[in-house]
Amino acid sequence: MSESLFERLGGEAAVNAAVDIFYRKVLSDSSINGFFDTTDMPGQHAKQKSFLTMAFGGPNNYSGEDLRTSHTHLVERGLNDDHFNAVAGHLQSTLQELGVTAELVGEVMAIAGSTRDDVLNR
Amino acid sequence: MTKLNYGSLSIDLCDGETVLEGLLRHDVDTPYSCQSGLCQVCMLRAETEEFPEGSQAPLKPSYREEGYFLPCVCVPEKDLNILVGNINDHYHRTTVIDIHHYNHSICRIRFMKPDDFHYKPGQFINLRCLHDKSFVRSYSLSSNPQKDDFLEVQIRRKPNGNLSNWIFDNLMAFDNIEVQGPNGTCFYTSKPERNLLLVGTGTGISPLYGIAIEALRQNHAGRIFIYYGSRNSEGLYLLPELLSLAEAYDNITVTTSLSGEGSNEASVDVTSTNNFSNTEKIRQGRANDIAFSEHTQLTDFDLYLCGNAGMVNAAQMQGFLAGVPMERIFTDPFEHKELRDVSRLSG
Repeated sequence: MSESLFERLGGEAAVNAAVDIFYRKVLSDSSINGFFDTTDMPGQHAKQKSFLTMAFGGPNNYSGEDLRTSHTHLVERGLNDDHFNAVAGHLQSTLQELGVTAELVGEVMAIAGSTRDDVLNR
Repeated sequence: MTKLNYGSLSIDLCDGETVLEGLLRHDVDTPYSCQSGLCQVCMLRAETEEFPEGSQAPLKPSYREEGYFLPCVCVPEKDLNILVGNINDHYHRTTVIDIHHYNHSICRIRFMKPDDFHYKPGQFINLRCLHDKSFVRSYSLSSNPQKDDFLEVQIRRKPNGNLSNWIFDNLMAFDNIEVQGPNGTCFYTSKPERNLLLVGTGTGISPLYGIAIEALRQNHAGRIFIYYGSRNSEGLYLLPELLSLAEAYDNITVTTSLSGEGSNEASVDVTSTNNFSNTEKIRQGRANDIAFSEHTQLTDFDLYLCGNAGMVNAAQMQGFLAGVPMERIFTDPFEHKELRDVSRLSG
């Protein structure tokens, strides 16, 4: 049997390697860091871990409905395609920094891209 | 709609409402403090099919197994049946040994360590007044379990603070007080070769001092940088001990700073505990800002932060962006959200 995407990426260890890099990129980007609540960094960090696990094809409990409701208050504050693209870009550059092959990067970006309508409440 | 049972009371929780909010909405007299899942004062025990993620996470495994959870961060999806009457089991009555006043607003309390009380330097306890159980607050331990047979905390008198004022105005040696704990994850777990960056403001310096002592006791080899901040020089109650430590150990560096308006870079005469005079250069500015301007690449550092929530939140961000791995950042913020009806005067 072929391995799942998550296994091919390296499972939870891959998520752990990626999350700090990804989260730093997001926090350092002034076009989007205002959407992240900085008063609870450990909590936010845990959310990034959940997001990456999902994007890596790993086990997660998110439904499309969950993604919608959890981003509603951000959409109300103006969350749009530019912001979504910025976050997706940071995900891509994180994977590239970690030396992930182009094929696997493509698979992860496809999963991330598939959340666009739910995240932006469309 | 999730149902919450509390003794004979049946409560329908509103969407997104925490268990604590539901209880308070029904005027249930249940203890709470930080409302952020930090201090564990609100801890209750319940029967339920499944606790929501996060509502048990900070608790010890043995507590989790027994169904203890934190109502202030619990938004249940399944019905919950709260077991009333067990909270008081966790408070131990103990006796004050002595109270030492560093100055008019900061004191040190030592009290007898309860039996079977095992802790690590840097963890915190919840202290509760015998006469009014709503007077309960969290304080970091600064004693050392290997060397001290007492528990020690530092208390700062807060304007309109219930417990701190009660302690300053009433508590004396041989009085009793109640203690629950230990809690918290801000204790020494560093590998010996890591460099440590410790930033403490106000009374937060005491648990960090305990952590530094513990690091040395475990033969920590890496450098230890301690940044000690206060608004004014009167608040630098631990300076003599810190300077003695820096003098005794090559790998320890202490930088002291004052953040209050009107304070300039100054020299302060410090009479150390050995009764010799030291002139220590005091920097001007916030301890965390100075620390992160001097240390900009921190991937091989562990970061320990104790003090007011504003400093701890800012320093967490500064440290993380400078490269400290998130899992190597340890914090204990102790000005929790304002809970009182009368707000504190600023300052």
